[in-house]
Amino acid sequence: MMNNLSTTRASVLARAANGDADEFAQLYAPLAYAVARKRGLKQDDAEDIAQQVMMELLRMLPGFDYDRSRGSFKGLVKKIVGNRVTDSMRRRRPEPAGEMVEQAATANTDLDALFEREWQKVHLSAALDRVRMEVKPTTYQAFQLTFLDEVEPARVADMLGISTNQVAQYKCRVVQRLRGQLEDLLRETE
Amino acid sequence: MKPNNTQPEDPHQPSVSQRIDGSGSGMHSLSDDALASLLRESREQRKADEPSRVVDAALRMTRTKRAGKDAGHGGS
Repeated sequence: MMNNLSTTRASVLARAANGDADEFAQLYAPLAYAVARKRGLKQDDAEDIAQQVMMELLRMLPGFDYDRSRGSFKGLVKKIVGNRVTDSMRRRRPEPAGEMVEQAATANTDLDALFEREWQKVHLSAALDRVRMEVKPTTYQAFQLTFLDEVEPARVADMLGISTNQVAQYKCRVVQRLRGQLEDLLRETE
Repeated sequence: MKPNNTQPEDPHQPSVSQRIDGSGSGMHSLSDDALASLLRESREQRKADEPSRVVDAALRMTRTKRAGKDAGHGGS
């Protein structure tokens, strides 16, 4: 049975603004943490940043509430994560003012690229979690083994007791749904 | 000397506005290989225990916040 998860997902920001922020936390705490860690911050500092970012986002969300004139939600998250990471790095390793100005442009470029990749990853993972709930276990296994683990389709067919044609069909089905879920997620959060 | 601020943008890159609002992220048109690569990376990150600790802490925070809000409403 297929649930209408797209409808549920479309209200993630609104629900978070109303206090139901579980899914919201599962998306954006790991994002902030990953960016902080990959910028070289220690685990404890990165965990603190994830918490600070969550608090700040939750505080701002009710006012944000789809007011796109104030900018995209993605832009808001990027700004908050960037500020927190930069502040933490500055506290950890104070630099002379002149050097900091010179390094700022390069650092911002790196941060933009890093944020973008982590943004993609958390939304893809969330979309895949949704799809996994929608499809039968065998369908998901066929996708996982061929698409993610790169096992030969014939071997997957043997492992799952299905034909190679079915393996191909199941993989395509999951990829198609994954793209659909991803589109829904991005529509709401970008 | 007048600074040169008018360099044309690379036509193959998203515009600044696209980059800011995310519409140029290109996720809608990622190839299957790129999707698989991102998902594998993400899976590796999830395997490490740290992200789940971060999520648990965030969930505790949001649930505490919600419980406080609900209690506030109940007491009025």
